[in-house]
Parts: sequence; structure tokens; C-alpha cells
Amino acid sequence: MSSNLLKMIGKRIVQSCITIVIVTLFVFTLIQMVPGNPVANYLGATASAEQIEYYTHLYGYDRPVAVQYISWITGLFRGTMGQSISYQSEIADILLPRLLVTLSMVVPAFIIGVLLGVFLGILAAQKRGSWVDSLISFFSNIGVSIPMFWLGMMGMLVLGLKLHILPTSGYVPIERDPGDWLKHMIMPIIVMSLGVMASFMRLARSSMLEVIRQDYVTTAKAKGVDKKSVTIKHQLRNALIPIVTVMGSRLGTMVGSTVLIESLFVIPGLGSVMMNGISNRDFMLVANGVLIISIFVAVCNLVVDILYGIIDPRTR
Amino acid sequence: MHEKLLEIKDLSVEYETEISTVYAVNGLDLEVGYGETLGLVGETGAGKTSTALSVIRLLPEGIGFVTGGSITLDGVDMLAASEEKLRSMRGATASMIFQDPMSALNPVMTVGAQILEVLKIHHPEQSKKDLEARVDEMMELVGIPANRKEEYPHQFSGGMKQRIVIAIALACEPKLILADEPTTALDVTIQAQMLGLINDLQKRLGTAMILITHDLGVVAQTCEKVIVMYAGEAIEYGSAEDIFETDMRHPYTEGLFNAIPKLNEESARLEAIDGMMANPTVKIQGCRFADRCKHATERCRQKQEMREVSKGHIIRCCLYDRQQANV
Amino acid sequence: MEKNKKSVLSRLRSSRIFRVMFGRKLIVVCSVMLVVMFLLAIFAPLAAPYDPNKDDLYNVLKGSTAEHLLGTDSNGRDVLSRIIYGGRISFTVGVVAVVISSVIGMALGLISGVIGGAVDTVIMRVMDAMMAVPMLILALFLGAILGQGLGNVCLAIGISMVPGYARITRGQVLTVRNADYVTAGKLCGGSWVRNTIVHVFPNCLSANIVTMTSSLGGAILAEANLSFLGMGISPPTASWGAMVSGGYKYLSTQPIIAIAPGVAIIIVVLCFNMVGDALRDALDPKLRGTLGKGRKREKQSRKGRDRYA
Repeated sequence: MSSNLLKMIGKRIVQSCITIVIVTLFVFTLIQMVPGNPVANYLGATASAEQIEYYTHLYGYDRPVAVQYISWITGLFRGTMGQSISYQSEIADILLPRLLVTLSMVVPAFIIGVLLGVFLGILAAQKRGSWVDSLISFFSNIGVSIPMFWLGMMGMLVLGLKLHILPTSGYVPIERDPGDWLKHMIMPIIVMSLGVMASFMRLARSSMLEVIRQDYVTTAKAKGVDKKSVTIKHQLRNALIPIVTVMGSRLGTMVGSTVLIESLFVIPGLGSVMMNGISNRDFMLVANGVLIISIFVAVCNLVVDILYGIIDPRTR
Repeated sequence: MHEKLLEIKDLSVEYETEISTVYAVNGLDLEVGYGETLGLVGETGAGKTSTALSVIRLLPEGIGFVTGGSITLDGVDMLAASEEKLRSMRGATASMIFQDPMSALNPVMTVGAQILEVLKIHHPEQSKKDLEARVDEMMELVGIPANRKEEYPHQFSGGMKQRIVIAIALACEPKLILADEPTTALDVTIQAQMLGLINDLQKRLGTAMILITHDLGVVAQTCEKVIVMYAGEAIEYGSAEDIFETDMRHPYTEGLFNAIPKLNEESARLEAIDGMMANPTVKIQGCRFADRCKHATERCRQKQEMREVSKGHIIRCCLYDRQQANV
Repeated sequence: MEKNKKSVLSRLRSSRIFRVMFGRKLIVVCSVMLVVMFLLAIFAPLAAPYDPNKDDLYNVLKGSTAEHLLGTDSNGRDVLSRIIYGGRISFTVGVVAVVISSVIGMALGLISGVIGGAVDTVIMRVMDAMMAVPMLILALFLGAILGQGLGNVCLAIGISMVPGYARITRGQVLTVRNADYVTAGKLCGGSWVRNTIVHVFPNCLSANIVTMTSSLGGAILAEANLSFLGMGISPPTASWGAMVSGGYKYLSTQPIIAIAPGVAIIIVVLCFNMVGDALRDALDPKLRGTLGKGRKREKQSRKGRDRYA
């Protein structure tokens, strides 16, 4: 690894940190814009004035805003995220285990989606104009237009309710029964991977078509390189560059879409706990969820940039 | 063994685009002997590149088609040859130097690997060490220190990249080089260097070359034979002397000559050829240049055959018919 | 040779089918479809057979019948009528959110690109931060804080789409800024405000127009997502996402309640995406003529002329 690459990585880490700091400021400011006392909002109209005052003091909402922000940030470095009003416990303890549940669903779905999508996209580009291309393009266009929750419901309807192959919803922890866990995870993973697959099919197809008409491909053919090697050595590696660039943000989008999937399939992950937070008006919980997701996205983007540096010598 | 390295007879190339059919080459005849240098001159869109790409059967897939004629390269019927046969000839029998060195090299492969690739394909029997040595030799030959072979194309200047492209083209000592405007994308100072290099290597290796250019000066420097193309047709053919030192040129070639700045004459303005190149999507019966030609007569609307104006110098124009008859 | 020729021919033949069936005609079909859906939404009171919000407790959860083509929901409301009315919400949110996001985004991008320096850094860092939060989560969070209601949903979705426009516009400004015609404008003594408006801005538009068309579909999808999660338009107003969500409970008995509004979403989003793609291809000169013209070639080859293709 060259020193240039290391320098670039260092620079990107600093940038990511700045981004995260801005995210914390951004979400914190937004929370302050919610009218009324957060405790009163949660407890509702039936709460007595003493109750509200007691809990407000307990959770520190009576301190100045700047102090609240600083104590939140310093808490993050110690691994605490503050107290959740609705769960009555430490937010990090609620969110982090659920992040694992979410990731156990998102990561396999992403890998399946990307691999299949890129493969089919390249196939479509290779056979451009043929029926294979039409079919793949058609499905990728539909795939990016289908609402994920609807697709999930159709999966439930067909695989669960009609064919009885898979359970319709629910979650079993992997440590309790790995087989049962897998059974419950298959449908959410398939549904999530289909969306990613569709968008990577489109991307890979257009990126490949862009590369196919480059001069260096003709150069390679003029050297007598056979078709397979032209595709793999000369086209694919160049076509991968734009594909790799969007991977980070796509993985982030996927984590975001878990709010839909987890609500639909009743899976106790990060998304469903954030939805609980929203409906309980427990905004500190939601804000920390947003923060965790943005840190995850930042880390993904960093990995992508390193990958990018390895694939494309021009960035070194 | 054939006497001629390359024989093209009555070649037609068409491009199918969504909007229309483009008749890029229309009945072109062309011959190149072993070790000979042929200049293919014409403006953009005259069909020069299409001709070169047809020779190694690399017209853009699904868009460009050879629709008629024959191409025989080193005794092989290129239009009937199998894909495998074609592959074994590309890079080994005939290789190509492209116009734009900036985009002709794969950005994610080291230049050494790109030279090595062509050697590996055509000399699979040789050891890796021998091939690597040959890569070093080729790089030195085109004037680049061999220790730079681990670098990527973006680390080289345009002229250096073109040297690499030339190294790739010559690595397997092909019998024919198709050089498609190899100097157009380069600075004027580098152009001369590059031509010198190509010419020098060509002489040393005994390679034949088709040099595609729109620059008559380049032709004068390097070529023995010249074909002038216009709108997909050969309109003039002869040795370099025939064309450079005669009064009886095709009016189009005449126009090209007049468009060259002359140092010894005081002239305020260069003479341009009026009008635009004939619409390539329409098939024209008569002379394609007639609309722009100041000598055009009714006769030019009929199909024009090639006619010999002096020995070995033929043009597709009826302008000199009368003069010759008078003599 | 023979085999090679055949494969190319068959490919060309099918590419013709592809182009006619899925090419321009499909775009025409998509556009017509969008216009029809749009008109249905505008003239919903005339087009819808029933009042979308009128409960009919005698006709609850009826499947498809002659009176109710797509059946009725758990309150006895006509599903078809609700889909027609739901289009109003989808189109409104789509258009308003795209207008909000493109206006704010382009303004920020222009400011960032033209002024540069510290202003640029601050704006782009904030955009980076917004982009680090997935769009749905951002819209959800904003929506939760702003509260329910049509206006807030538009605002939440609109804001979550701002960074995309800001980035595209800034990128365009940076490429255009040093173009000769902009320098020429400066040399003519135009103020930088005039220069920006007359020379820089119009050149950023075409990239943004393409983004706007395809983000219409994105905004409609986002509204459906929010409504599905119960964070969108407040009931009883009909919204496609909320209708799917409402049909969840009756998936095993009356699946049509959930299926039908989902199909409506797919059609509208798909059409917007297709038209957006076509627009991008049409505006990108690089892509012109990359496909061969199959029909004529095929005719010629039948005559046996196409020997070597």
C-alpha cells in the first residue's frame, strides 16, 4: 500500500469525523425544535406536574441546551447515549444489540443483491439488444419501482399464506434455534436483496455499456485478446469503478429501509425500535438511531474509498 | 505466397444507426505490398478508419458491417476467416495504432502488462522471463526506460502513451501496421518525433504500413504510395511523387493542396474547399465531389470510373479526359 | 462464419422487437399512462364511482364485485375510488417535494459553486452529513418532528432530497464556471449575479431536469413508505401507502385491498423512472446512436446482401 493511499485514507477518516459531528449537531437541533417538554410529550396529558418535573430533572432535560448536547457527546465517547424515556434504560443497551439483528439481515441481503445484480447487469450489457437484455432491463426497471413493503407483503401472501413454505413474520434469535432463525430471515433477506439487485443491475449494465465502447477495448481486441479475457481483464475492472463508488450509500439506504421490513415482518431490529421511538415521541432514542446509522454509512463509505483506491490506480 | 500483403477489392462498409444508414466505404480497391507504406488521405468521415477496422474485422459490433467486396491479408480471406483465425492474426499479422493515445490504453493495467499481454497471446510457448525481457526491449526500442513498466497509463504524457501504443503494435513484429492518425492528438513537436520513430522501426523490422492521415505533409515525409479518399471512395491513387509533383490531380486533392499554408508565397488567406462533405446517408451515382467542385459539368453526374492520367497515377475524375484527347 | 452470421442476425431481429416493444413505444405508453393517472387524480370527484371516505358498514371487506370493482375495505369504502383519490396525494407530494428540493438544492449548489471558499465548505459539509443519513430515515425523522399532514410530509421528503440537487448543481457550476462563454460574460462587465443567472444557471438545468423527473418517482415512493409506516397523511384521507398498510390485516382473506394500491404505486413510479431514463438518454449526446438500427438491416440481409455482418 503506497503512502498516497494511506494519506488519502487519513484524510477521509478526518472528513468522516467532521460529517458525524455535523450529524450530531443536526439531529440535536431538530430535537430541540419539537415543541414542548419531551417528558410531558411522552407521559401525555394525564401526567401530573410533579411527575413531569421529577422525570425532567431525572433525565436532565432541565439543563441548558448546550450542556445537554455536550453531555450527550461526551457520553458517546464513554459508550453511553443517554436515557430513553420510553424504555426507561440506557439507549446504547437498547440500540446496539438490535443493530446486530438488523445487520444480520442487511449484510447477506446486500451481498446477494450486489453479486447477482452485477452479474445480470453485465450479462445484459454483453447481450445488449437481445431478449435477455430486454428481460433483465424490464425486471430491473420494475424492481426499482416496487415499494419494498408491498413486495414483502406479496411474499408473505404467496410463500406464507398460500404455499405455507415460510413463516409470514416474526423473529427467533439465532442462539435459540439457528434453523428457525434462518426460516424467519429468508423472506426479509430476499425482499431486501431484490431491490438492491435491481438497482445494481441497472448500474452494472450502463457502466458496462460505457466501458464497451472505450478505445482500450478495441486496442485489446486488436491485440488478439479473446472475448472472455476482454470482458474480464479489460471491461469488468473498469466497469466496477462506478459500481464500487455507490456501494457505501446503497448499503446505507438498505439499513434505512429496514424500518419498513422490520415493521412488516415484526423483527426486533434497529428499524423497528426507531419506529417505536417515533410513535412514543422518544426523540433521543430516534436521534441516536439516526446517529448509529450515519456512523455505519460513514464507515461503509470509508471501506468503499479504500476499495476504490485499490481498483483505480488513478486515485493512488 | 501472394505477392501482395493486403488486397482489398470493392470493399463496402455501412453503419446502421437508429436514425439512418451511413455508407462509410463504397467500393474501395486497395493494395499494399510487403514492407510498403501506403498513405490513406482524406478528411474526417471519408471512411479511412472504417477501412482500417475492416481489415482486422473490428468494426463496431452490431453497428458497422462489411456489406461487400473482399479483403485478403497475407493470403487469408479475412471476411471468411473464423473468429479464432482472426484473433490469431490480430496483433501478430496486423496490428493497429490508434488515434488517441489518451484513451487507447487500459487505465487500470500497468503499461508493462499491456505490452506483455499481446506477447503472451501470440507466443504462448515462450517462458515468462523471455517475454518480460521482450517487454523491456520493446520499451527501450520506443524510447521509454524499461523500469517504468510497472507504472499506469495516467503517469505518462500523451506522447509517452503513444510510444507505449506503438510498442504494443510492434511487439509481435506484425507484417502490417494500421496507423490511424497516430499523431493527430499529439503536439506538433511530438508529431515529428513519433513519425520518425514509427518510420524508423518500420524500416528496421520490414513492416508494411497503412498510414491514415488528413495531413499531406505527413504523407510526403513517410509514404511511397498514396490513396486519397473522399466520401467513402478512392478518388486518387499513385506514388507520392505522382501526386505531389503533377498538374493533373483530382480537384479535391488540388483543394487539399491549396489548403496548406505555403511559406514561400505571400498569400493573405488560405483557400478552403467550399461546401460540406457529401451526405454519407445518401447513395450518389455520379462524382461525390461534384457539388463542391468548380470544374463540375453535366458529365460529373454520371458514374465516374478510375482513369490513368499518367503511368501508375489514377484518378476518379473526367476533368483531364478532354486535355488528353487533345494531345 | 455461418454460425456467426446467424447469431448476429437473430440478435438484430430481436433487437428490433426490443426497440419497438420496449423502446420508444414504451415511453409513449408510460407518458400516456402518467397523463391518464394524473387526469384521474385531478378529476377524481367525476371519475371515482363512490365517495372515498364514506363508510358503508353493510358492505365491509367485499371482494371484487360488479358494484365495487376492486372490492371494499374494512370500513366498507370502495377501494377503486380510494385509489383514484389517493393519486391526488401521490402526485401532490411528488410535485411539491420535488419543487421544494430542487429549488433549495439548486440555490445551495449555485451559492456553493459560485461563491466558493468557506461558504462552499460549510454548505457541502452539511450536505455530506445529510447524505450520511439514508433518505427514508431522514424523511421519517423530519416527519416525526414536523408532525403529520400533507404539507409536512412534502417538506420532510423535500428536505431529504435536497443534497442530491445541491451536489449536482455545484458540480455543474464548477465545470461551467471556467467555460469561455462565462469568462466572456465577465469580460463584458456583467455583475456576478447577472453572470450567474444568465450564463451559469441555465447550463446547470439540464442535469437537474433529468434528476427531477426520476425523483418524482422517488418522492412518490417515499410518501408511500411514510404512509405505510403511519407517518404520512393522516387518515381517513386516502393514500396508497396507507391503503396497503390497512390491507395488511386482511391479507389472507381479501388480499386485493393491499395488492391494488401497490400496483398503482408501481405503475406511477415505473412510468416516471422510464420517462426519466428516456430523457437522460435523449439529453446525453454520448449515448446517441449506440444501438444499431435493426429493421432495415434485417430487410437487407433477407435479400442476401448482408454477407459478412
